[in-house]
Amino acid sequence: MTAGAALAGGVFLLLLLAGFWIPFAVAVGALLMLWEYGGWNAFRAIGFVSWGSLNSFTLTAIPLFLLMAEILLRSGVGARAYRGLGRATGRLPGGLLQTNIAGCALFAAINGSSVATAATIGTVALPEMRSRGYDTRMAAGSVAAGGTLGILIPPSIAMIVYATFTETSVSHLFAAGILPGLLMTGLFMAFIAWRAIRHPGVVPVARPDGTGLGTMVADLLPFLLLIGLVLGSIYGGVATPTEAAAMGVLGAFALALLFGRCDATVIGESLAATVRTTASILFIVLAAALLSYCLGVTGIGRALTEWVVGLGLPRLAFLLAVTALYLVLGCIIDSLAMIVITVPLLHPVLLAYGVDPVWFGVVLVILIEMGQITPPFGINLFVIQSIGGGRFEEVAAGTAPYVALMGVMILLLIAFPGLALWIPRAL
Amino acid sequence: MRLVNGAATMLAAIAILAMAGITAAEVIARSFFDTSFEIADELGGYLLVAAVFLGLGPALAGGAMLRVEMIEQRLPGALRRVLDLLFHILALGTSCIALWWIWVHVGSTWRRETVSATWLETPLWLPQAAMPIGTVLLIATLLVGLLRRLGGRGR
Repeated sequence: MTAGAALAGGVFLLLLLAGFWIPFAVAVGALLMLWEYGGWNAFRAIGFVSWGSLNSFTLTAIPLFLLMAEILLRSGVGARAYRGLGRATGRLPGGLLQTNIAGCALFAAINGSSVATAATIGTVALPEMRSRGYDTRMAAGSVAAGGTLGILIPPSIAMIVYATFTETSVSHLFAAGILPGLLMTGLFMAFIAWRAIRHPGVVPVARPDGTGLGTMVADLLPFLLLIGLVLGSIYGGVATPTEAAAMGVLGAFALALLFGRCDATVIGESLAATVRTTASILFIVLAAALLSYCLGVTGIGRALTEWVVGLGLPRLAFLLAVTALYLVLGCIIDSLAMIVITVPLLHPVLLAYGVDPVWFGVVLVILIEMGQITPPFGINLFVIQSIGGGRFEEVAAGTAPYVALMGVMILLLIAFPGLALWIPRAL
Repeated sequence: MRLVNGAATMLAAIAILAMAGITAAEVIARSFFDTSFEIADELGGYLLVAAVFLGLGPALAGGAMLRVEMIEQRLPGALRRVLDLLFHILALGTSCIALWWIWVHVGSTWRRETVSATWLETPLWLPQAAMPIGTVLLIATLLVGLLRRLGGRGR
């Protein structure tokens, strides 16, 4: 059995690295294991796993949060909020670099994807910063890194997916992400301020644009209200994350109608993009559910858990080993794929080590974010490069310091687990 | 094929909008009128299955399906074309196996007249029918892609 599993694992890795579509690669690996276990009839699982894994109200939150963000993005409401924020934070040392981080944090609170966050803020920020003479590397780095706040600050698609594979509460995970998310925003902004004060050359002198408090509030307020509606209804106990997402979609439509472009093109494109992204994300979830089923039924998952526990690593050494594993994986594999492939394997081991799954969810999200801004595969780097953030090497160099800051954040979480667990426990 | 996938996108989009509408209506009914339809959870799941399966073909055609491109991009052109062909064939095989067993599953729900354990008592084959339909669409998209590549009109 072990030989069969090793073969399946090898074929899977080979296909994955050669560029096969990730969900198909996962499915082929799972089918090979099932074949070894019970032949053609074992494939029966495809039928009920397909239905059982996707017929889920929790996962329904994913297309809804995606749609909400798409509408805000394409209607121009997001860009307007960014400009409003620029008036508030543009005077801090670091100027628009600070605006980028704050903007990403703000946008993260209405969408659950770090690519979308980086792309939204980047599209507005980068041309503006170039015309004002900001250093290309600093500008690109701040957007690429700020984007990673997208999946740490709730709502977060990565957390919804993690929750379905670990049977943890989405609300608790969302709550656990708040404090680390804000802390990381603070770390990023403090770093930029320090850079700007030490090397005044990298940031041009702030240029007040003469508009007052009124415009700023008018630009920001609708956005803040929407965030309040979505997150408030989750934490106030009025709605589940899925229901809050549905309210968020209504709210996004309202904002687009009132303050942005809301015609057939905007709505049609938002919907089409949502359909494609939903299918591609949930197809991976489906394939991973099949893998997870077959790890369970074949006993491979348990064997692996026993093997790892049998190594007798101390808890801290184990956590550091997991961290190292994700950093390596993150360089090659996409973030969501990484969650769904590794979590079914790791979850039982973590439980055996007495690791809190909610706490680990937050750490995992930060680890994955590090992967998203680490070359060679860091997806945020490609996104920023493709929307005009300079050469790939420049973006990667500009992002490097933030990777180190995230490492600091992980060490903080290991030392003080309460950072993540305090809010969910208080709920 | 583009037309078919366009239609599928539209249906999936309608499913997502319906999801948003039903769920939002449920929240509003519960918070302001103190009643509940008690169907949002159930229908949301069905609509999600439909949206995902109908979206598979469009996602593939639109290049939205995730893959690791880092190594593939550095390979010589001839090898990439061979790999691309191989991937289409392998994905086709996997999808056909999936279609067969999804068909078996839906067929058994149909024959046994399984209904959901809610007051709606939905005959489960109805929402499940989206699965084989979506898979057929995915297979068709893969097949068209494969034929186009065999005919020398690469990507």
